[in-house]
Amino acid sequence: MGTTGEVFVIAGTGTLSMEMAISNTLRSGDDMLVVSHGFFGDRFVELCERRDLNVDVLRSKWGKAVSVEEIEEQLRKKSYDAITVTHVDTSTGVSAPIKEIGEILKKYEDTLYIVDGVCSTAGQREYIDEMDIDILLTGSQKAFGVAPGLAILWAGEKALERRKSLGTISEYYIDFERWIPIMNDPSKYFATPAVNMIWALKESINIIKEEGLENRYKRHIRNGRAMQAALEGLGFELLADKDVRAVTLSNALYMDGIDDVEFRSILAEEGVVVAGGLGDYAGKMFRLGHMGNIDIHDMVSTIGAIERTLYRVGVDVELGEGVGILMGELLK
Amino acid sequence: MIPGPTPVVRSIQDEMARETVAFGDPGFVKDYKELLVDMKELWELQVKYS
Repeated sequence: MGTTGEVFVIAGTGTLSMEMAISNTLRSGDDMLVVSHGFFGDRFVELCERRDLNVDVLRSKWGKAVSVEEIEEQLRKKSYDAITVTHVDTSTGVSAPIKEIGEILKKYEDTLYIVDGVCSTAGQREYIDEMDIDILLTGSQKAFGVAPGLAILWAGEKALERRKSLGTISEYYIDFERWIPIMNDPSKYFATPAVNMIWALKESINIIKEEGLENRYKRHIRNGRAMQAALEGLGFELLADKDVRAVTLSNALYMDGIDDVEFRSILAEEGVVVAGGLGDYAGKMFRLGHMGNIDIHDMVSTIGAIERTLYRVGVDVELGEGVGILMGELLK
Repeated sequence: MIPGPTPVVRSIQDEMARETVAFGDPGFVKDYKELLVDMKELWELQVKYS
């Protein structure tokens, strides 16, 4: 397969790759459309405002998604230099229809399509050319199953041309132009690569190649839906609407009477650490990841630990019910 | 089971635990180059505008 464009793998985080995408493609005064489904969509707004971009935001209620029709309507009303969409917003568990948005953007050739894949890349289907994505960005620590420490960004031809048109940019470390010679020939030096993290990501890619990327996406769908069925079977409501629900994580709302700190502390005693809710949902839900290189043992033990925790905080739970649902779904 | 960092399997941990080499080490340069090619091909980064 012939490929063009560039992929950048440098020491950093997902947030650095967000900044890298913006800094290399937009100048002060440019018009940006941000589609936000939560906390991390809103982070783009902050980044853009710091760069003096004119930002318009299409923001959904948490748990819901901005429709493709709303996006198209906004694009018809105003010309944008770029649009950002967070594929999966970790704060809400909402998955954006990135393929359908890419279809619309074919009609808007001057608008760069930037997809934040921090909570999706290597777990949910993303193909840059097929989906008309100009920049896909992510980090190493989520569906790649590598420790934190790498910023990862793919840039297509249109994004690289936009970078060239900007001339010198104020950012140094994240400048595409400085990294392109190194990405083409890693024996050259610009800034020190994170040697062991590069090896770690290479091993993650070996695992992905062995499994097959499509098989990996299918596994994430099966695992995600099974975990979500088990959580709902135990009485949790999930924040994201079913038709826009991600498969890389689940954001489970507590039943009445459950204290977040107590629940997560007991769950940790039972061997599983989960994340708390963000923003208005702090204290009202927990966030459970099920992406990357986890297996059936991880999932069964996690749902079992959640059942024991519910029992210990006084919820009338039938022990084994969630595990039964999970295994039933996985074995379908 | 937080949504990142996610569990890191043993074979990836082993790579992180390797003895660090100079970034100009020929073996490392080869590995880095292969990684970048794989990432372009797997995610199908191709030209769209000729």
